[in-house]
Amino acid sequence: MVVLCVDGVDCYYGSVKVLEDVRFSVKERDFVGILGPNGSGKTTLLRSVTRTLKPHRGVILLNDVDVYTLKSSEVAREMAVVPQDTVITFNFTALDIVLMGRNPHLGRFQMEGERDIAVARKSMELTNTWHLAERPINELSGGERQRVIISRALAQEPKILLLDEPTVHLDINNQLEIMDLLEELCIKRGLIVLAVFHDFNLAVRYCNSAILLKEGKIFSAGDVEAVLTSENIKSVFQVDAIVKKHPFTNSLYVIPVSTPKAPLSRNLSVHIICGAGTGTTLMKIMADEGYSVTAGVLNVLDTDYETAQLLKIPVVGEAPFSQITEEAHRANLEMMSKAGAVVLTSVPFGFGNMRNLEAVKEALEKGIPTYVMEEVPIQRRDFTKGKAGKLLMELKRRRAIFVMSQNELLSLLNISEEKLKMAEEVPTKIPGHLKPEEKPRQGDRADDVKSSDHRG
Amino acid sequence: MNLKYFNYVTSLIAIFSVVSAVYIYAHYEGQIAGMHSTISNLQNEVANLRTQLYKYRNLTLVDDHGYVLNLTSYPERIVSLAPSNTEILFAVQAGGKVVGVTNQCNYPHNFSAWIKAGNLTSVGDYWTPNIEAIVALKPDLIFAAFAQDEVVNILRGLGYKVLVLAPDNVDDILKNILLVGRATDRDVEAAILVNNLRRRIDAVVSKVSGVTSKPKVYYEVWYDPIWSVGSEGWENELLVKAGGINVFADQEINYFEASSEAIIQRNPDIIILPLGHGTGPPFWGSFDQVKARPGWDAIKAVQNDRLYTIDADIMSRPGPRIVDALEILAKIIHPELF
Amino acid sequence: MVDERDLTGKNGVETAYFRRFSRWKLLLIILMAALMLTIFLSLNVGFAQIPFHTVLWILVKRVPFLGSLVGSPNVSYVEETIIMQIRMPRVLAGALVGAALAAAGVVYQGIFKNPMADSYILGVSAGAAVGASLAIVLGIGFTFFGLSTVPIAAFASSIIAVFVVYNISRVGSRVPVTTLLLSGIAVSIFLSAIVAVLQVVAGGKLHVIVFWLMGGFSYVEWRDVWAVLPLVCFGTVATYFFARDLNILSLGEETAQHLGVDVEKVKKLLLILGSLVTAAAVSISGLIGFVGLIIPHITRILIGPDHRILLPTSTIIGSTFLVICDAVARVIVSPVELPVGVITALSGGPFFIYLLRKKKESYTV
Repeated sequence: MVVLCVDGVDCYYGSVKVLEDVRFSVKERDFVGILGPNGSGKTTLLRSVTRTLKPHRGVILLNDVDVYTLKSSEVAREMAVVPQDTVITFNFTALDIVLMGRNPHLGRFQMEGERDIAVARKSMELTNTWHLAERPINELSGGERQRVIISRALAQEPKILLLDEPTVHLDINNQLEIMDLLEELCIKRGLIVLAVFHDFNLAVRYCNSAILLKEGKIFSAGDVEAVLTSENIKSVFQVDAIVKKHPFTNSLYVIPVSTPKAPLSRNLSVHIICGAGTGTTLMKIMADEGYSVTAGVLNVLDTDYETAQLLKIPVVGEAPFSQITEEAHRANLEMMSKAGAVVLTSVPFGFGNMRNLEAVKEALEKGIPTYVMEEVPIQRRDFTKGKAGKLLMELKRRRAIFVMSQNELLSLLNISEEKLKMAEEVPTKIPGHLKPEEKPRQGDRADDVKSSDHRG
Repeated sequence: MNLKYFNYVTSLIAIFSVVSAVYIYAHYEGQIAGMHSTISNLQNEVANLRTQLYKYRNLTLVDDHGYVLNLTSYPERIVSLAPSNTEILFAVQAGGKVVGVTNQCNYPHNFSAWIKAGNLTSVGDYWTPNIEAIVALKPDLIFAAFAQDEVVNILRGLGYKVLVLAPDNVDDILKNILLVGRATDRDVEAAILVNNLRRRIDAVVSKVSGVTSKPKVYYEVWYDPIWSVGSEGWENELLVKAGGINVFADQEINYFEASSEAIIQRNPDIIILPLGHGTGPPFWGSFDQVKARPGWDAIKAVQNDRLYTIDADIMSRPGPRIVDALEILAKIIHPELF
Repeated sequence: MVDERDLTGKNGVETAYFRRFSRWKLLLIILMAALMLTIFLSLNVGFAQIPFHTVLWILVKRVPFLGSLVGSPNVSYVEETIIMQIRMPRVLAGALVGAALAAAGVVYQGIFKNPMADSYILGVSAGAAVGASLAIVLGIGFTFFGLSTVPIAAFASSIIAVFVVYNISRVGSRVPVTTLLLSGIAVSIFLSAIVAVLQVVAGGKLHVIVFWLMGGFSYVEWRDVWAVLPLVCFGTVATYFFARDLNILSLGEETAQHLGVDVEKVKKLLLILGSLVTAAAVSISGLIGFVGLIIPHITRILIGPDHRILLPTSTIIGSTFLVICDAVARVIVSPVELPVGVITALSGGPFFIYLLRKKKESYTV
């Protein structure tokens, strides 16, 4: 049963159109998140529903009646609003403030009675603020104040609760507490929640529907999983984000990825052999640094595979739970041959990905400079009964360069690239953090670099 | 000759004459006495009728606002709400009946000393008289003045007899003196005073009537800001009667704020400044300071050093001393005649 | 998070809340009694020295049943006139004006959420000054249908001024509060200039205007009191029914709207009530400053921001305060009377500063 219906609403601030043809409807047990970039009209939408800004076109129906034809008190019995800013200049007690929520139910000549106090108390207990009842409101912290305001809204015994960024001032445990409370009220008592969010993760975790606004228009609306996708986020916010379902909470989570600045183009291409998340950071850094990166062989369910997809890194994939096939192996080798350097991360080795090690060996034989990262000693990640370890020793023998940290790797790559560039006389800029470190380097490594430069 | 017969007749005649004389005398004496008593009775009657006449005599008084007041007896406790009224009351010899005056009343006696000594009561300042103080004096007649309408209405509302003396010109002032005389059973004194005043006024007016050149006079009421008098104030009339011309006679108002520029432009021949009470230098400084006002050196009066002072009270109070003011002004304006 | 119960007991907070109402009632009764006492004491004060028991007798004999019980000592007509015709009306006027100004001040401060707001802010004072000055200058005879022209003119022109201010500020059906404030200031300045002009043309009547502007109860009569009594009583009582709305309005207009308050309607009604009451007060007393501005603040410091107690308390305190100030003004340089506004400022100002300093931390305005 639709409780609130927004139909074809246009809103203006003066002559500027802020909302255009907004339409959606909300029914019982809906927990709706309104999202969008700054200036997209989220707060305006809320204000048009709460009767602060009358739309120029369209209608907003509450229980099939135009909100703007109703009296304030009638609306307030159905709808409660929790604003973003709560600056109260007079020192009423918290209980006084919450009792003001009972106003829509009281006649002009009526005083607050037992029932009103009971409702207020219940509301305050739900937000865990009852112990603050007799404290003056302006002595409370921002979070406590916000919870009192939420209690006030609940005291109105509304059917719909509208919130404007309700958790902005709250610390993490309060945030979750409030959101859990709202969720419970929504599910158990059918309270409709319509809230503006800036925090994707909160929205995505608690809302069952979402409205995504872009430039005053609804970009997407519906189930939250359908609305909050990477593509939509990219379209609306121009931000890359990973949207995944978290195995623990069984809800989505969104991780925005900062778009790299115009990458310095480097001539060096690097092929990374990784897996199980060991290569994600490296891939990102190298992409940021402007190296052209390739990767393989990676299991398609692997995190690194996902990262590669995200960063648009060419990658050789393989079906999960299977050994690296010949095909994949060959593709891997091909990619490697095109690369100027190969990097092997501290990936755990099992029989499934042993062939990656063999691929590295072949790379070495071809003379491609190879770097092996030993952040985690091989003993801890060898699940091949020692075979991987042996192969690794062989790699060492064959002059693979072993590095202990990413920074070391990057500076070495930098130097080799420098040399390449000097040879081709193309000027490069060395980013500050990759200036060669002052710690003493093993002589042969540097020599190795030199010698590995001379390849066919 | 019959002597016996002669003696007999003579003695008869003599007895008869004596008896008649006695009888006639007694009779007429009685009559005269009767007449006396009639006369005295009649006299008594006349006296009775006179007092009755006196008692039922209705004294009708009309004040300057047209308010009609009927007195059935002469007042014994008079309150004056303005210094001008006080002066008039004392001038017509009704001062003995005055029980209340304002703080500003100072002539013809040092009333503040009287008030301090407890022989007289002050009812407050003349611009805001205290109703309670007035009522507490149990007055049977109150003389109010210009711009005291609120007070007058309240007092009349409480049943008190109030007469408002707010004259517009010298003639009205004289009429007021007569009114006060009538109200206080001092008709004769008032008439004599007014007669005197009229003679003095006429003396001045006739002397200046033939004058051809009338000097322009500027009278300054206050110095900061500068206030002067227009055609509605009697200072203006006094200047005219004294044979002068008020530089601001064209202003149809009583008192107003004048600009230094206007004074300079109108170029008075004579400047007259008011002197307050008490000792010490006047509030406007000295003649030199006045002459030194910016731009004033262009004024004829300054150049010819024709600056004079006059007692502010006699100039501004609508009472008998207005004629003193007139005579002083005449001397200032036409020294050649007076 | 453990839900801590209030330390005063299981239902401590609730009972405390309801007990608050009865505490308020008690406070109001005490304050009313204080006001009555002040009025009585004020009647004893004045130029004429009338003994205490005489005053008592004069008052008591008017009470229907009590009157016949008391004997009849020697009381003169003059004393009765002074008490009943001169002192009583002005003392009652002082009480009414003080109540009106304080109540209007509370209302205006609540609507504007501005601590500088007082009852004169919408042009009531300037409007009244124009009306009164005009009536004085034109010297229209001082009675008109049984009421004096100056108060009528003052009342009428102050209502017109507020009406103008309200309509200038209106945007559609809404009246934004800042616009109201600014319009009020602008109109007041304009009208004050007109008063200045009137003062120039007043000539010899200048001092009458000046004294009216300074404010005072020197010439208040019974008919002024009767004219103003119903309006002030009705107005101050009516504002009480908007006390909860004022509480909610202090949270902001938007929030108030969300909490079911019909903001525009309430604002309009309260402004009308406040202006009527202030106009009535000013018309009989001239411009007495300070009461409408500071009494609400003083009461708020002492009692708190809840309008349900703030309104009636301010009203009664304002009343009492003005009665006391008028008594002082009457007596301090008798028989000359000081303007009441001087006394209110001289006494209220330092007291307010003292209170502010004492409660510096907890008083938020």
